[in-house]
Amino acid sequence: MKKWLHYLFVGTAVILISFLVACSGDSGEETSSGNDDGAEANDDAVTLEFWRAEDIGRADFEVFMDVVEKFNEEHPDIELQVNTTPHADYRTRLNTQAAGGQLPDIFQVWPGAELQPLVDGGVVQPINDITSYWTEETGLLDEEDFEDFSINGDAYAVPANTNPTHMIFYDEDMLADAGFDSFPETYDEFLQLVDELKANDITPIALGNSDAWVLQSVYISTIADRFTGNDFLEGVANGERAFTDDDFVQSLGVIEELVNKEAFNADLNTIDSSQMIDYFVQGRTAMVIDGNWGLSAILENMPEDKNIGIATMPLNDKNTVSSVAGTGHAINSDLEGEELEAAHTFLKYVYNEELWEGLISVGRPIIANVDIPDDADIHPLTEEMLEVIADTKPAPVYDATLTPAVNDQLENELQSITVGGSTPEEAAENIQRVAESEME
Amino acid sequence: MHLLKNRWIITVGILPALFIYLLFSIVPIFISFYYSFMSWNGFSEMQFVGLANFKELFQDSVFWLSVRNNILVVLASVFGQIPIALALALLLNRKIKGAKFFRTVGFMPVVISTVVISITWRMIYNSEYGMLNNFLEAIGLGALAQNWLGDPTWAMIAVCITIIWQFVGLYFIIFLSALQTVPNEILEAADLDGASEWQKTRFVVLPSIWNIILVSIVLCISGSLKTFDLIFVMTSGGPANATEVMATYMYNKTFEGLRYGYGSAISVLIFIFSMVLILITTKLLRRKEV
Repeated sequence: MKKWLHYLFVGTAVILISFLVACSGDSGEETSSGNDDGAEANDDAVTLEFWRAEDIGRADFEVFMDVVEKFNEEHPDIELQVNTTPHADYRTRLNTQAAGGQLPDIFQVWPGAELQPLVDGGVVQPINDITSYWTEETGLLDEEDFEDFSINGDAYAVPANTNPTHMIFYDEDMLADAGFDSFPETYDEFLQLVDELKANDITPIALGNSDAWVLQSVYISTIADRFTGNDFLEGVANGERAFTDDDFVQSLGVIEELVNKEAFNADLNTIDSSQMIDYFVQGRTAMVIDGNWGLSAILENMPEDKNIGIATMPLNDKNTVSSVAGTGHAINSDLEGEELEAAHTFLKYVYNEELWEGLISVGRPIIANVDIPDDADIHPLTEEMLEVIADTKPAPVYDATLTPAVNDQLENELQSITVGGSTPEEAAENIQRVAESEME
Repeated sequence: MHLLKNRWIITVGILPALFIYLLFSIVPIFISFYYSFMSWNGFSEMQFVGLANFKELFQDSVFWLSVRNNILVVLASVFGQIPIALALALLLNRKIKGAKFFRTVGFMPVVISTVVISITWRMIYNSEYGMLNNFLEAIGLGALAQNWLGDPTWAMIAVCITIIWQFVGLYFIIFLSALQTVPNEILEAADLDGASEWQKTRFVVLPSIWNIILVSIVLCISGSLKTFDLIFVMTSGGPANATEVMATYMYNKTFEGLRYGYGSAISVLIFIFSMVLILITTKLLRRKEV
């Protein structure tokens, strides 16, 4: 008799366990699809899964999400499931999900080199059918605005803003104390400024390079362009130029020179890009170099009596600044029929005057032909930055142009230069080696 | 008891767990083997490249640096965590005032999330406002202050110290519970024979928990070989690969560099190294046991 009891016990256990497994499978799906409050409202609604990197507290992210929310309210026939991931993890999540063949319907993408593998892998579809909405119907954008998101002549996402990745924010009072009433106009004067600040016992420039992209995206993309010219990366790609060319090595030398002059805070490799803004805002350093996005963090945290100026690196006779379209949103290549139409409706709704007016009001340099709204409450510094940007010519951003493997190497070598591990020559050779192996 | 005699029932009972284990732990290892012969960026078609990934890997100086760093972590763990944990356990096994309090404190790092530990220690090590440098300056040893995590010569040492700190508590608790199983009769007998405290520890206590110590060493080695999260958050392998370990390097290459094939080749080597190291240690330690 007892034996039967045991069988019964084991049998129940097995059933229970398999049941548990089945359940956890279900709940897994539920969580991945995110909010479901719209689901009950309309059973016929087309469901779209929408992914975006999340920058909580950043004004431009909030402007965007407000528009998305409004879309959801005004379109009961389309159920948009919004799924945001913290910025730093978003790329990894997207890449992993793509490798597993499980991408959402609409998702945030980066222009250029980051978009390329998605297109090559055939996971995104062109939006050529609807670009006329912006270029003709509304006239909000021009044909060439789609360039950064175009690959082989097909457009894949709508650009919202340009993203100059190099701006120098400086404390006017600290510069005045060092004898500079205006920002240096030549590189020699800039070095002099660094010396003067050091003499006053002030750390000249705040740098947080623990994530390694700052020296690449913010520094080298602009600095190298001043030496090599606009077509350098193109030349590297087709073998006419190389990272070992003198002019590129010279630009690496600028980083080495600044490090040797102790122009940066000593903990540059252990703090990140938001901490470097903190250092500057707290008055620990006289300058910080960051992308245009740095301004929103500065405006939010700076003491009211701080006088801040904005400039770009005075280096060689050009005033180029590395710049690329900000992020866009691409459509999954599997979408068709009703769903595709819904996705198109979504893009047309979101990329519109309201978004662009909102973005420009919070200080993002937008691409669209939209003016600053009259009632907008724009900070004078924002206006100053937009003016500085208007004076510059664009240069390519390295991480938007190089393949991830080469970019990875470049960032590593830059970090290596800061700790005295590589000389500019060695660094250039190592980068070139990876670039060549990628081309094979 | 006859339940456990019936092999069929045992099999049925194990099946669900075994299935999940196979699916999520064993099968991926073989998939990794397969990927390691491919060139794949995760999006496009895979391309068979034979042993090219391994060839490149063997010439990759950063990979060997990561292997070296990983060995450092293993050594620091085995020779740091185990002796300290054992000493603490022996100490707190006695009737000391506040023993409970110290036990809790010792175990605390094990319960705290690794991310919290990493960020806290990153602040402690910070060269400008970090507690460690401030402390050194306060006691007049300012000359010893370092850019702990920013300087390649110190970064790995700093990371190892944190790893030791993080896991001492775990082995401490394991040893403490082992110590409580040492039979009192034997200790009393030793007392009657006039054994000193040291002799009691050396000849009675340690031999009776030796097996637990062995298990801990194996746990410690395998744990340090897969160390990832702490370093990833604390330095993400930087500056300039100075704190790269095999797992962070694999992650960087795979997910940041989008080279799934190369990353898989690194995984395969991690797997082989780990197997070899674990086999050697179990062999060596078994011999000692006899």
